[in-house]
Amino acid sequence: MSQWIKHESICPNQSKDDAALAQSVITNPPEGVLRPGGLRLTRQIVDACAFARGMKVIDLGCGTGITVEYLVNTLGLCAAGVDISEERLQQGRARNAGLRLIQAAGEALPFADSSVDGILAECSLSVMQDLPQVLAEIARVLLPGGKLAVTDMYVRLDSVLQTSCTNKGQTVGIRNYSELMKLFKGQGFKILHWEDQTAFLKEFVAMYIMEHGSAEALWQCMLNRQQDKQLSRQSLKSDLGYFALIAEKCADR
Amino acid sequence: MDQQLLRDREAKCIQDQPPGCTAGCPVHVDARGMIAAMQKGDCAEGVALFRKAVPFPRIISRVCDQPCQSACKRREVDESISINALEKVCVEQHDPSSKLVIIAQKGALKDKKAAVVGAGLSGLTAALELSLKGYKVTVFEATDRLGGSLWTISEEKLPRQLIINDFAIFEQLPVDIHYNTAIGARGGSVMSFAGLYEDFDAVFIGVGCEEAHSIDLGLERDADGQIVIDPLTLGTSQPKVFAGGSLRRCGTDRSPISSISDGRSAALSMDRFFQDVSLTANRDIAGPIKTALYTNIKGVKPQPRVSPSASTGGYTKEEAAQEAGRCLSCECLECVKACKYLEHYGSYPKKYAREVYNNLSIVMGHHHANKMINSCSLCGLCEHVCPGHLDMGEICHNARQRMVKKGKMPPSTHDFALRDMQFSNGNDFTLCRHQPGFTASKVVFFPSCQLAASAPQRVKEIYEFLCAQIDGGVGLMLGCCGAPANWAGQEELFQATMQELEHKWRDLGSPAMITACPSCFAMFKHYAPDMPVELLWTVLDRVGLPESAGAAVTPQKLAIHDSCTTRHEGQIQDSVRRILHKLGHQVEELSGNRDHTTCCGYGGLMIYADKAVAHKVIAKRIEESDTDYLAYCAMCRDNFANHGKRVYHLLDLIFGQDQDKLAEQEPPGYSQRQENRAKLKTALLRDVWGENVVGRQANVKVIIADNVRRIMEEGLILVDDVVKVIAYAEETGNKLKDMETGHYLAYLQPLKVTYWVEYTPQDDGFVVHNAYSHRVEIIAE
Amino acid sequence: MSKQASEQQKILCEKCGIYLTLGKVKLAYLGTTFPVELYKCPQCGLVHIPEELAKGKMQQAEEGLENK
Repeated sequence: MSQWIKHESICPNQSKDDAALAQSVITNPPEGVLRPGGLRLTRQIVDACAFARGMKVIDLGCGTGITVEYLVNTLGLCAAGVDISEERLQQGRARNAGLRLIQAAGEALPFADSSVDGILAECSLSVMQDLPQVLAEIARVLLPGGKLAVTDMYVRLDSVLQTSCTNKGQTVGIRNYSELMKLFKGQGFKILHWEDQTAFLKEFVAMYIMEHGSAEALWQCMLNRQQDKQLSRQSLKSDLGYFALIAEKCADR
Repeated sequence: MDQQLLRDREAKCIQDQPPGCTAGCPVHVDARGMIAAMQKGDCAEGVALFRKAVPFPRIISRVCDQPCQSACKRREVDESISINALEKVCVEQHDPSSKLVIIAQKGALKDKKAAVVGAGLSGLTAALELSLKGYKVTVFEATDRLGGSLWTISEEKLPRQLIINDFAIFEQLPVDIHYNTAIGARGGSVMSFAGLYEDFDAVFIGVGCEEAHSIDLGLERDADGQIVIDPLTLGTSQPKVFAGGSLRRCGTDRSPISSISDGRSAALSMDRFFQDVSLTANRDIAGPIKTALYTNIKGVKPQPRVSPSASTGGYTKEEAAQEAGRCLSCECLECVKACKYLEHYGSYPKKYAREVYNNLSIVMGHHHANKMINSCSLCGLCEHVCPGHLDMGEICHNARQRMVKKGKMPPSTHDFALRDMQFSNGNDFTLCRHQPGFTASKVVFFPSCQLAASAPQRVKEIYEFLCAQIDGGVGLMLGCCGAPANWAGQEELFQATMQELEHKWRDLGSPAMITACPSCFAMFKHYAPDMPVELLWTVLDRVGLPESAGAAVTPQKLAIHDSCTTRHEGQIQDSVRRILHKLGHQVEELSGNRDHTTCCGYGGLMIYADKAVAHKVIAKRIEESDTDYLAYCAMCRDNFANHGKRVYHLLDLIFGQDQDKLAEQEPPGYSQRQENRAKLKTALLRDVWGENVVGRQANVKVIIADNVRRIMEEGLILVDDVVKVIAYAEETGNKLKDMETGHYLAYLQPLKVTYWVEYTPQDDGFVVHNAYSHRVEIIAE
Repeated sequence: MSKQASEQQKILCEKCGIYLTLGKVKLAYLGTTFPVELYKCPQCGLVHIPEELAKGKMQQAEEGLENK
């Protein structure tokens, strides 16, 4: 349910209707409307990381821990979850007391240096306040050669106009491909795999509408995430997409 | 999309250009807004607007030289509005509060020091503005009071208290005023100008005409002894010295408002100078400008200026409201006044052009302006009435083409119309023949898919007549010209349709084309330039009418609706009128006639993209006159008839038999239209070419009540579609049963749309209770 | 919930002679496939899409995907 938890906590200016909507989703979770791609995409990215059974993997932005549960039960990993919302974590513990769910911010991970084999950040980086700091933390706690698997929204720009985008100095929000590459590489990650997964986003939107009747709350939340309002007014041939990325912490850092 | 193209288009729309008064005023007072407030008697609002542009409102309301008067558009009707008199009433009724001004006097003063020499209007304006920007200002005034030459104006005209009240603001600002300090005075202890220029970071000289001539300011002068002052920056030969006010206008009439404008310009220059940025970049010359705003004054009744009853010459509040009522509230909106679609979106084309541009560039992956782009009728009326000839149709049409190319066109908008077009270009309807007994065609008749759908009998009648009247063989071509594809932005599909059509035309020997439809005429004219094409009406005007023409219709007065695609075709419009006269009818010209005509709602596929807007457009059109209408396009006729308007098609007047029913004849629904086309083909083959063709068989009998027919029409569901579903359900047994009603419910997706039909078997047929559809596909597993 | 229960009794699959039950149905539009829970025949898979759904949420989903 991590998608919806973020929906509530990072949109402080949400109207009462949106909050109620988000709340209703949490209490009546629509089947499969977890986040774009759901656990199918999780499986794909975990497979791409080729974790051995028993390896230590952290789900960043785990919400009520559904993914953590899946990683442990189905994929046999030694998984734990981290989320900023104690409320969601409590819900998760109530559902399954055996899950390791820890309250923390991505910007300050409660793990020792080089102590973790893998980090999953599914639809969670785009809502964190200080992405460079989060990436630095991830780089710190990962073992050399450890894997980072990310799925999230991004802005698909026309290649001709990519250079004219002005998301300068922005720490939070939805970015484009080149900005993302710069951020990841800047923290010493080697990009193993990038794939556009926008089909999952469209599927997600359709399912959301079939459940709620309208995607307005969804768009509003996404617009709120977009820090640089200039982007929405700027004349860019842009399109909202979804991506999956596998990165590796370089051994010499 | 090209930014430059967007800017070119935006530039054509002058709606947000300032009205004459604002443009003509050196400081651009929003007189229009102020007067609008006065109309309501809201002096507080009026004063607020006045105060925004004018720093010393009490003084100016009394002494302004009013350049706005000569720029006021009302002058072209009768007399300009007494703008200054209204300002005076405003200020009298609601004393301007100084609180409005002191907004940000917090924070430390910037470290630059400004000096102002001469406490006249220009100097004090500069001082005020610089102080509000946070600079330390020192004013040097030779006399013992503020105001300069204001004190030479009569007390009656300018009560002294007003001067004091307006300048009281300086008591609240950190401005140092040195009275009795004449800079550069000979033999005085006061510093020289040279010393002043050294001591301060920038200086404004506003000493007035006399002093400017007599004092040595240390500035370059021209041959006439006038200080050389840059008109844009008000800079002088000394980089840090600026000058303005009445000393720039020696020998001309005093202009207090220009002095204020100068003070403002100088403050801006000095601010930039302090910050070491360009004095000239992104800056227009201050002062009066010419506006490009257009305001239609047609029909405005002349009304003289309100005369003040008071001996002082000032208005009472009531008189002011009356005079304010004469204001035209200048704005353009010519196109919005003419077009319900443009009015519907609550704005004006300059804004719309940007909306379209932004939509194509997309806001966060969610397209907002699709509906607006798709519901323009492309009729060209806006282009015709716009002073700058902005063409929303061109903008929307291009946008649609781009959307289709990028795969962003929502399929549901045009799908039905395009499928209807496919039907017309399919085997059920298409035909391409020489006249029987001929192996060549001198001309070919293309009645159009909509005339065939709406009035198949007329097609037969007119074709027979043309065959009789024109020698050399009159061929016949049945099909659709592709207009729906063109309007929908489907370039590829349109090109393919046109090519296919041209191919057939060449097969006939490339004869001259006669079409009965104004839209087909426009398509051929613009997109098949090789094909000589004429509209049926000019042909009839030339070759004459059938002998029995009009026999069944009593001559009467008819209001002509010119089809929007013939907007610029004067000859066609003339022919139609001549035909009407020949038939003995009297022609009424609608106010929106000929090149000023509006679309009937079919153009641009408007009625498919936004039914509500199309309704508005049609309603406005049919309300223009109570007279029965005459249309010469089948769709125009049908659209008006569907809205309850009594309207004839021109062919009705020529061939119609049953006069009583003609004007009120109900147009056929979508299913009937397709059936009419198919039946027309088989009838013509049989009756004209003597070929017996097996018609389309209806293998399933359906019984559809009127209310269900209406539901189907609303939902764009054809009888054919319903028949398909029922046939499939009965054949395969794949159907549901609603136990509450006992009705069967079945569904089928023949192409893209899934149709649902609720029905019950009855005797040898099926009663249809309901039908609906959706585009989402059900994937069978 | 009660409405759904009564709906269950309402619609019969004429082909199989049994009532429709809730099941997963795969829907698709413009290249996007998505699962939705709808009433369908557990035997032959015939689906029931009520008019209210077709004209309501389904149409919204169509527009959402068209405008993407």
